[in-house]
Amino acid sequence: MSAEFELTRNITIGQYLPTGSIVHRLDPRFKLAAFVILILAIAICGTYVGNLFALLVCLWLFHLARIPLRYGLSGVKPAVPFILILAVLQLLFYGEIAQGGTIYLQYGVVTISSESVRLVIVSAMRFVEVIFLSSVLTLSTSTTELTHGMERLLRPLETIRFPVHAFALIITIAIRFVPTFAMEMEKMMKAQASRGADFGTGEWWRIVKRTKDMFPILIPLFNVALSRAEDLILAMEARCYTPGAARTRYAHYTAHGRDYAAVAVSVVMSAVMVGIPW
Amino acid sequence: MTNEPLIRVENVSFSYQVNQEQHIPVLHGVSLEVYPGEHLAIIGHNGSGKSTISKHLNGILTPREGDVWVNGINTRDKKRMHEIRSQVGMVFQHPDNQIVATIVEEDVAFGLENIGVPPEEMKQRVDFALEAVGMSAFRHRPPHHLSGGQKQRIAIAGVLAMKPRCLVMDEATSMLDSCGRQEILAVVRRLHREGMTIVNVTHHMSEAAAADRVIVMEGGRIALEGTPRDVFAQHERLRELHLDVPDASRIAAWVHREVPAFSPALIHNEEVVAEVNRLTIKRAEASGS
Repeated sequence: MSAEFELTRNITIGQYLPTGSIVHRLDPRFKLAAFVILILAIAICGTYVGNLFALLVCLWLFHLARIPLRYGLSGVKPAVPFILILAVLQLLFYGEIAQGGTIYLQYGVVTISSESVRLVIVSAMRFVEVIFLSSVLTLSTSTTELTHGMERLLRPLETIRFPVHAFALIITIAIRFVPTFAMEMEKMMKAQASRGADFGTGEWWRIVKRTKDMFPILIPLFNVALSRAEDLILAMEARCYTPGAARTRYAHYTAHGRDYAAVAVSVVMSAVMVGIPW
Repeated sequence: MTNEPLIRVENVSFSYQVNQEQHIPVLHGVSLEVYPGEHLAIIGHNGSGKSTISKHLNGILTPREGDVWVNGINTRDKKRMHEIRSQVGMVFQHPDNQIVATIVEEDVAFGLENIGVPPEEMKQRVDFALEAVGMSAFRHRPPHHLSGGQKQRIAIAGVLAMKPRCLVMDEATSMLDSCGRQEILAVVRRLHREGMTIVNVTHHMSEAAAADRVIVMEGGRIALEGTPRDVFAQHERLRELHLDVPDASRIAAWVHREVPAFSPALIHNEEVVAEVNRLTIKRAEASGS
């Protein structure tokens, strides 16, 4: 009974795994840029060999970051049913669109050709690669660094009046309050349970019931969140926060040679992925 | 004190607006001054308006009538709000609800980022502020791993980094356990010794007893004002205002009733001990001679 209320004891925001590798030490701005380049390349690359290469790159990154591969695999696991369903749907209904190659089977609307098979396999591989890549990124970068990197990379958008700083601040505050609300929720669950409410004991397929069980927690949680937000606004105002005003930044990063190298390497690899003709 | 007041509150009235027609009046013509370097305590029971008046001191609320001047700047002057708020910093009640960043040092820097301090100077000021509250060792920690007292110290550091002249504490110790409260009070005592003006809005009479001057609020007006000794001597009046007196003061009054030689006008624990010693020695001398 006790374990199900322990929300805060093991809380990790993000999934930072400090191993101190070179990947961890990269400047988050450059790391994020390299990551975006690789993701784009994976999205474009539609060949078997290109994707095999991308997969190898991912494995190499895990090795380089000294992160055990099982962390990446644990990210893939929940996505497996989704990947399978997608594969089946693509196999059955994509034959018309992905034409060309040899036709293996044609039955009513279902057309299976070598092209559609390729599409199915490549999409599945892409999925795994994207999950691997994002795992490496989030396992080797703290949420704070990620926010900084993102804020810096989005800064060009300020010219079209996109509120980059406000956006970064929203994310920071969201991350900051995750443990606070987890603790709040734990308290409420205990309070409700002590008066006979029961959580999470229904069978998993009774989704409606299990959702309804959560209402006595969710509504007060919203209430608390709003009052906390009011306090926070006051505290921010008292410390001279003005939305949209020019500010300076405390976090400061200096780019090293290895950071430029990381981006260069990712560009080369992306070129290989996209360029491979088979 | 003959010097110019740092903050001047002149005839301030304020009401919270519930909707178009309804207003809840909270303050009625309050006037007070905060002098540089003093330690002022504002006490009063719930709903007396003490928290509302403290929020006027740095322009978080602006008066409906009357004016508040901070170092000669009217708090209605929106253009100079940064100046006002960097001079008068504020620490609030709830330790969790005033920390903005995911890392301690970044939270301390938040105010500095807002007023556009250049990065190199920011670094120095953050170092100084963390040092002043004794939290340098925690600078890279996420705030949710800190205790309540530590979080409040971070909040104070965030204010100190702005180099304010006055620190307003709006019931800043009321959510803390006794240990956390002592931590905060120790920090505040040291800051005051180093010349910081302190305004402490509090429920704890022992905190008020440590101030230079006490203002008692009641129903949106100032009911009593004076040194802690004068204010806490008025047991009857305070009882009418639903306020307690410090433990030391109550004990002194009790003992005074039994032993008339015992002075009733004591407000600190140490004074009670000293008084007991004084009388014991006196008795010993009397019986000896």
